[in-house]
Formats: sequence, structure tokens, C-alpha cells
Amino acid sequence: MNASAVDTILGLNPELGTLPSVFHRVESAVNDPSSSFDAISRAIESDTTLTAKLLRIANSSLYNFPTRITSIDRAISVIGTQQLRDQVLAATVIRHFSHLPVAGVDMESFWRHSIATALLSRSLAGMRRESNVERFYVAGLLHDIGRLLMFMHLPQKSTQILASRDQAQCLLHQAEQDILGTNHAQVGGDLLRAWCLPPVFESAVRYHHQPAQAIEYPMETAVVHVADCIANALRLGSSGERFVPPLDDGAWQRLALSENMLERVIHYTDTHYQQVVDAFMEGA
Amino acid sequence: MMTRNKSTRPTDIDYLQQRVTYLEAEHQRYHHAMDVLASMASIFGDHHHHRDMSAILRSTHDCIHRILPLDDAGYYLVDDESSFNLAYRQPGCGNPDLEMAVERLIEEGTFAWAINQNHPVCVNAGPDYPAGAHLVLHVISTRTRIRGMFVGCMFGNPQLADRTGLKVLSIILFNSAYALESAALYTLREHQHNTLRKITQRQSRELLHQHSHDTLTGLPNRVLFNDRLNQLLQRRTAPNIHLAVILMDLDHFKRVNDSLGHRAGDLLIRRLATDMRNTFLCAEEVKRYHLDAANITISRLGGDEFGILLEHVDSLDLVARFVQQLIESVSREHEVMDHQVFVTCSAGISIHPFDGDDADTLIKNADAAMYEAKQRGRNLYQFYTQDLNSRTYRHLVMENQLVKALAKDEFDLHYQPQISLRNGQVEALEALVRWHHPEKGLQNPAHFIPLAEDTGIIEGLGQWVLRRVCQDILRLRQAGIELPRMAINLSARQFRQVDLVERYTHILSEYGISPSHIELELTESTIMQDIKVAVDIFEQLHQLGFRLAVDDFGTGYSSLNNLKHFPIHSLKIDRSFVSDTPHDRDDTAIVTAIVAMAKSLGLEVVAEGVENEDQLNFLKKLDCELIQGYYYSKPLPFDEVCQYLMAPDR
Repeated sequence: MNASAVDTILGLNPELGTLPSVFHRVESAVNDPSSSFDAISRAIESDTTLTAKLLRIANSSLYNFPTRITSIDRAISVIGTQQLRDQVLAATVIRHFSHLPVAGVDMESFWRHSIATALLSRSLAGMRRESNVERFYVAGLLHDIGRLLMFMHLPQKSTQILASRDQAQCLLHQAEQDILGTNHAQVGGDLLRAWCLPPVFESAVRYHHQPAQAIEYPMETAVVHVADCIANALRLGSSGERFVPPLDDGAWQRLALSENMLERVIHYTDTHYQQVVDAFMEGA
Repeated sequence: MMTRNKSTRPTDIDYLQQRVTYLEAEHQRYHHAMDVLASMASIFGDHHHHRDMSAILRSTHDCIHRILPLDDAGYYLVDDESSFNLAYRQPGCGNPDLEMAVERLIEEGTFAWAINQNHPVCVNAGPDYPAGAHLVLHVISTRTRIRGMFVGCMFGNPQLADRTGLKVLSIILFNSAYALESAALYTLREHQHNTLRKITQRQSRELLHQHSHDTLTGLPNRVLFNDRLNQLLQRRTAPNIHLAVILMDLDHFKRVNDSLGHRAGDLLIRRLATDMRNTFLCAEEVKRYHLDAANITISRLGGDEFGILLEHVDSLDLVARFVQQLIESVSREHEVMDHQVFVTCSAGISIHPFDGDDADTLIKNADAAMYEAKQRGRNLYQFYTQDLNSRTYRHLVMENQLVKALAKDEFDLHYQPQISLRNGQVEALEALVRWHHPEKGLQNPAHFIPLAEDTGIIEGLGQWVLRRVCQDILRLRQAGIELPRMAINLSARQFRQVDLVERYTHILSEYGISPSHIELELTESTIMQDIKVAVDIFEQLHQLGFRLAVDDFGTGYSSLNNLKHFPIHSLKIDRSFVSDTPHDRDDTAIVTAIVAMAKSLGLEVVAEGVENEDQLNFLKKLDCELIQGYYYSKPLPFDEVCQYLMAPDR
């Protein structure tokens, strides 16, 4: 499998190649000079399920805003335009895939792992006092999206890969490499590029097992890499990996966080994990 | 997004034109933002003038104002108590609305919430502002520490209006936080640097002080004394300005150390130093000598020796009065470790410019004068005179004469009776040596005994005295006079003679006289110099039948506790105590105590120096046995004492 193979899958499954239209409407409203502040709100509010989800997220312990946020307008003011756009992206991607039937994969466990990685990424970024933590959150959420694609569209190879992993007692992404000549990170990166998402997401997803290769977005990639390791170690859901991927020293050093920060990062994740899982998974 | 969806988007010319205009404007904004960011270095307080908080905030605001159209802005900094204080306000903005709005945000929790967001938070400006006004909150924080909060006011929702501007705001405030942090660290470092410098300075001063001051007393030491003296001599301007160099040392200080230990000696020295400082560095006191406390240097030169410098002395008379008071203040009873110690001191004075032009000469001459004061009987002071230079020569002459005096038979004995108060009888006669100097006439023992002691002539003189006493005993027997005891003084040097006991018994046996007729008087200090040896010799003398007496009792520091181990028969109370009784309260108390203690130890007490009826009556009341003094008789030549003994009524 190679980059053109992703094109092949997308060619066979055109619905995979585009994100739900609501995301594009929001994206257009954000980018359109002629659109007003209300246009973004209206684009979101046209999707009542999405609106409910976003308000639920906005009022969750994740933001812990002192007063209740009752409208998308207010959510934009408080959380920020880009931040809300990123939350829209997260919600629509999850909904997008949860509508698709996938055999032999524990979807809930997969999303739990993704949400845990997302929260850990957001927390690590917060510790670093990065200005837009939602960007890290979305990158964490999408990091294993390639694996979902493989399970759905290459079921036989996937079975083979899982068997190989069990036999060799190796990491899953190494088994993927052995059998497919590529791995889920590359596949995920290709998919995000196909979706024309901002390059930061593609980089973080594509290199989350080789953070040293992320030249343009080294920090985002390093954060997702570390968060993935922690999430696997904590066993908060699973995307099929049995072992904890080895931590890249350079990535850890790039974060420049002291080890005793980890306890706070994990505590933060524990605090928000269930609420976010509930917000996304219920009625998804 | 646009490219992929172009088939579904409007493609008319108007839209494209609008889009191009927008992108060009956006492009310009980016350029402008880049320019602002490039100029951001001005925030950092590289120069110490820029290290204060308001300068950093002013530069910060200059940058922010270029990219965000603000109606008002306030910068709050967090203090040590974690409260936020307005530290800088956009120029020209002074109305209370902003602060009131911030108060409200703090109350409802939005402010605290915004602290934990690292992006701009836009909220409605509230009732105090026109509709449509928004406040932008943005924390000012480094990665590790929150330093404050930016609060900006603008119309319209900035979240949508200027996303680029808000991003740049984050970057500027992030840098501003680091500038504030580095300024705070610089301030801290400077503060610590100053503290360190103060400590170093203090320690340097202490080291300097230790080098130049005596650790026991805190007074300047010899180093500083010499240094000051040299400085004063160099600074000397007018020839009529006098400088006095005074050296003072305690008489027989060694006795204090020997009998009470070095700790007691140290305590005494420290006490004296404190007294001197309190007395002579006190402005009121020194006025009496027309001096200023700053003109007086009191230093401890070592051991029991003190050196004093007086600058700008008006007259020698004032110096003399000063030194007299110095001696009086030192020479008295001091209490040291529960012991009463009687101290006397001697002082020598040299005066610049008369007695020398340099420090060495002045000190040497003051030292010579002090030595002279000691020679002349201690407890007094002496100005340096040219004459003192010939002292060594005079000593040699005198020593020569002393040796010859023995051969030439120039010595004579006088006897002073000791009268019993019980029966009025002469109980004993004290033999006192006199020197008939061929040129100077009759010499007082005080003049030649110290020299005889120093040179060892005392040993021969002592034997001569004993022989003479023996001869006089035989003469008294021949005259049929009832024989009183004969008291003979034994000096320290004699006492240490190895063959003292043999020599004395030999002489007595030569004349066929029993040792029981002889009483040997030793001063307290002689005994205390080496108690072990003293006990041994006393024991031998006692075995042979000599009577033993302690002379000048009260001037040394021996306790009766020590004396009770000695086989002594009597104590002689020093004349200096007796002479002031019964008027001086202290001396009266001392004499009373000595008599009482002596009696409790079964010792006979002899009071010396009794001169009048008052003293006699006082001593009678104490039941003191024996009296010696001018009241009954001065020391008499042998012939006269014979007459005295034979007189029927006295």
C-alpha cells in the first residue's frame, strides 16, 4: 500500500474523501471576508446535533467557564473562533466515522484511545502554555485515523497484521510496515491531506511515530507522540496496540516539561475524560 | 477549501474582486504584523533604565496599539500576595470604567478563568460601556509564571474582526511576560548583589578590626596603637601641640594569674578595659582634661600592659591629672570570680615633642619612665626625664656599692617592737635593715632591697642579718634583759635558696641559739609563688622550731583556705589597711574579717602601722593580740631598743 492506495480507497469510497458539509460551511464562514460574525454561528446552528454537542463541550469541565454558555455566539467569544472551528472538526470527524460500519473493530475502544490522546495532548500543550490548545486536541484525536481506514477497507490485511503482531509480539505499526510497506500514520496523513485540512494536522498524524521527521510542526508532533505513549500506558481505550510505543527522547526533551508535570497531566485527563467521552459518544 | 469546491462556489467577477481585495488587505496586515513583531525587541529591558516594569509595559503597549485598534487598555500585574494591580494604562485613558469592569469580571470568575487560557478571551464590556463594546482579556504569562493580565477595550467583536491582531497580541504578551520576568530577576540579582556586597564589606571591616584590635578587650591592639601614633606624628602641624604617650601596666599581675588562674586574669583585664573605656572615652569625663574623646586612644598592648595616646594636650599638668585618675581608677579592689583582688598599677609618660620625634623613641621612653615608676615603689606614675637614660649606669653603680657595703659594714639593723595588748609587754622585735650610704646617708630599704633581690646580694645580706640578730640576742642576754622573739624578713629569693634551712640552722648553732627565738616573716606573694615548695620548706623550718609569720597579709590574693595548710603562727595585717581604720569602711571591714578568720584558724594577729589611739582602740575591740607601729615606737637602733625594753613603764 502506498499514497496512491489511499487515493484508490477514496476513489472506491467517495463519501470518505470529503468531510460533512457542515464543517465546510463553518470553514467557509470563518474564511469568508464578506461573512459576518453571525454567519459562523448560523453555519453551526444549522446543525442542531452539532450545536448541542458543541455547547455541551463548551460547558464541560474541559473549559470550566464560570457562567453557562448558552449560545454559539458566546462560545466563539469565549473559546475563540479557531478553537471552536477545531472543535467542529473534531465533532464532525467522529460523527462521520461513527456512521460507517466497521467489522471486527471495537469502535468505542478506538475512540476512547483517541479521546485520551486528545486530552493528553491538550493538557501537555496547556502545561507549555501554548496559545491554541484545541489544535493539539484535534491532532491527538485524529492521530490513529489511518488505522480506522485500514480496518474498514483492508479487512483481510488487517487480520493478517493482527496475527503477525501476536506471533512476533511486536508493535502493531511495525507489523503494518512489514505487511503493507507503510503504516497507519502515513495512511492517516494521506487522508488528512485528501481532506485539505491545515498541514499541522497532517504532520502531527503522519509523524507521530517518528517525531524527529516533523520539520514544519515539530512541537505539535512531539506533543501527540508523547500523549500517544501515555495513553497506551494508561490503557484508556486502544486502537489495537498491545504494547506501549517507545518514547522518543528528542520529543520528550522538546516539550521541556519536568517529569513531575506528568502527574498533573494525567490527573487533568482523568478529570475530563468521561465528560468528553460522553459528549462525543452518546447519540453519535 | 476554495479550490476544491470551486465548481460549487459563485464565480462571478464581483466575488473574485472582493476576494482579491480581501486577500490584499490580509496580506498587508500580515506584513504589518511582521513589522510589529520585528520591532518587539524594544520590550526587553537590556539597559538598566528599561528594567522597571512601567517602561516594559509602555513598550509593550506601543507594539500592541499598532496592531489592535484599542479604545482603552490596562495592564494588571500580579504582586506577591497574588492580587492584580493596575500597573499601566493606555495614555489619555483615565475614566474608572475599565477598572470597574475588571472588578466585575473578577467577581464573576471570568478574570480568574482567563488567567488559565493562553489565548485572547473576548467578553461583553458590560453595562458601563456602550453596546457593542468588548473587552479582550489576555494573560501575561511565561511558561512557568503568571505575571499579569492585559485588558483591552474595543468596539465590535475582536474575535472576528482581527484574528491576526489577536495572534500577534498573544506573541507580544508572551514576550512581555519574559521581559518582566527578566527585569524581576535582574532586580533580584541586584538586590542579592547588594546584600552580598554589604556582607563582604562588613566581613572586611570585621577582619580589619580583628587585625587591629585585641580580641579579649575589643580595644585597639599594638598594631593599631603604633599606627595611630605614627599617623599623629605625621599629621603634626604646629610645634606647640603636644602628644602624650602613656604606658600603664599592673603591678604583680602575674600573682593574679598564678593564684586564681588565667581565666580570672583575663576577666580582670577585660573589666579594667571596660572601666577605662567608660571613664576615659566619655565626653563628660574627658572635658575635665580639656580633651575630646576622639583625641584619646586607649589600647591593650598585650598581657597586662595598656597604651594610651592623648592628642592636643594643653599642659603637662593636665596629663599628670589624667594619669593620676587613671591609676586611681585601676588601683582598687576588684571582684573577679568571687575573689576580691587588689590591683595597683604603674604608668610612664613621654611627651612629644620633648621626649622624641618618632613612635619608637616615644614608646621606649614611656617604657623607661614606667620602669622607673615601678622601681620607685609602684602604684605611681613617672614622666620620662633625660636622667632616666642613665639609669642602667646608676644601677651598676648602686649594685657595686651594695656589694661593697656588706664588706664595709655599712648596714645596720633597727628593731621595731611588737606590743601585746593583753599585758603591754614587748612580745617581739622586728629586725629591719638600714644602709648607711657613704654619700647619700641613711637609705630606705625600698630603695635598695629590690636591687639586692634582683642581683642576688640579698642572700649574703640575709645571712648578715641573721648573724647580727644572733649577736644582738647574746648582747641582750648579757645585759640581763628578758628576751623577746626576734622577727626577721625573708625575701622571695632567699626563700628559694636551696640550702636556706642548712645555712640558717648552721648560723644559729654557731651562736648556740634555739630557732624558737626566731620568727621568719614571709610575704603572702612569696608563699603563693609556689605553694608546693613553700609547704615543704615551711614544714622543715617548723620541725626545726622556727616560728613562721605571713607578712603584708591582705595585699596578695591568697585565700585563708590555702594558708590553713601551712604551719604558721601569725598573720601580719598590712599597714595599708590598718592606717585607714577605723574611718574607712572598706578597710575596717577587711581588718575585722582578717582578725576573725585568723582567730578561727588559731593564728596570732599582728597589726602593723598603728599610729594613733583610734586605731588602737579599734584593734583592741577586735581582740587583736599584737600591735606594731609608731604609736608605740618607730624602729630603733639596738642601743635605743635596749633602753626601751628596760624602761619600767610605757
